[in-house]
Amino acid sequence: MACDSLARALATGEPIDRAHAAACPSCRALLDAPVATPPPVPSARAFRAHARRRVVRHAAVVAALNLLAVGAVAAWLSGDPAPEPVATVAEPDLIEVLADAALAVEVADDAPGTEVLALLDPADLADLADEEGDAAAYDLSASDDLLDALLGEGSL
Amino acid sequence: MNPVAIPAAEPRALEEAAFLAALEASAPAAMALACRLLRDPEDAREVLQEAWLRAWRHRGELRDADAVRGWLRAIVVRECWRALRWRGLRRWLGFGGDPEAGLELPDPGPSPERANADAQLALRARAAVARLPARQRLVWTLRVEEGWTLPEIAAATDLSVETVKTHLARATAAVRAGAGDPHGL
Repeated sequence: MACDSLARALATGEPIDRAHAAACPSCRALLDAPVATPPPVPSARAFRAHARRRVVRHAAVVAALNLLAVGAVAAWLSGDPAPEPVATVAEPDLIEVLADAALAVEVADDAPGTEVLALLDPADLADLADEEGDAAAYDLSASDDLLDALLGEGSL
Repeated sequence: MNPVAIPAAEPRALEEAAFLAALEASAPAAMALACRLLRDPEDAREVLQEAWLRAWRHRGELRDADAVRGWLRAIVVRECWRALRWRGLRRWLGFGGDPEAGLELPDPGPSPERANADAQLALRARAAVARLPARQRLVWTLRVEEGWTLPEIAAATDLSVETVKTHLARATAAVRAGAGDPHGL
């Protein structure tokens, strides 16, 4: 016959008393869980930097999908056969490529109102260097709603 | 002169520093919960890191530092549920080991024969818990091992109390069957 507390838990799904479990090997066998220190809570600056990287990555993915869609529509309008898709966004390779592309993005700093230059080809980035990036800058941090939309549940 | 109605002031969101301090203070309990739900420190660590980010993104919803602990607890539960579903998918696809595979018997104590039989039963039960579907496992662990009330579980999992009861009943039946002690139970 099992320990009463264990038997009751298995029979009815009632909680096992912690004080009893501390002195009962069989209950301890059921309850034992690894103990580990939690990872450190990031600083506010690290949180913001992470959020910004996610914004850029999302923007890169969205823009790439738009480009694929535009290309497909253009091909369809021109009567050309639709091009073979190189990949779908669910494929890790494409996500990696897009993540790498995001590395070519300039983020000014962590201050509020900073400008994020998203989706720049390295060559474009060089062209824009003299123009301070005005034409292609997205002031993402100015809009909490946009941030929330981009950082919402369905993140990659 | 008509009195001018002054609208009640909106409660302000937590200051960043207070929010981060509250997260820091809640971290050990959140980690212990994740370790219990996942039984794997590395998975628990990943869940905590994701929980930090989710908490940061939604910090504007909080008005009270005292509420951070319970709020973070609910986030951890949902992230653990997500992790358990991924673990189930990986297992189904044949990837990844089972963190419950290396279970060992505890010290049997003064009456080794009886205690050893009990501990064997407990370990079989624990292995059965590890095989439960993610949601049933979550509900069972929170109820039986963590001692949460049914409404607390319902609130943290976005389920109704009735649904929680159903999952608990199914989980209990499966664990009992997995433990396989028809004489003792």
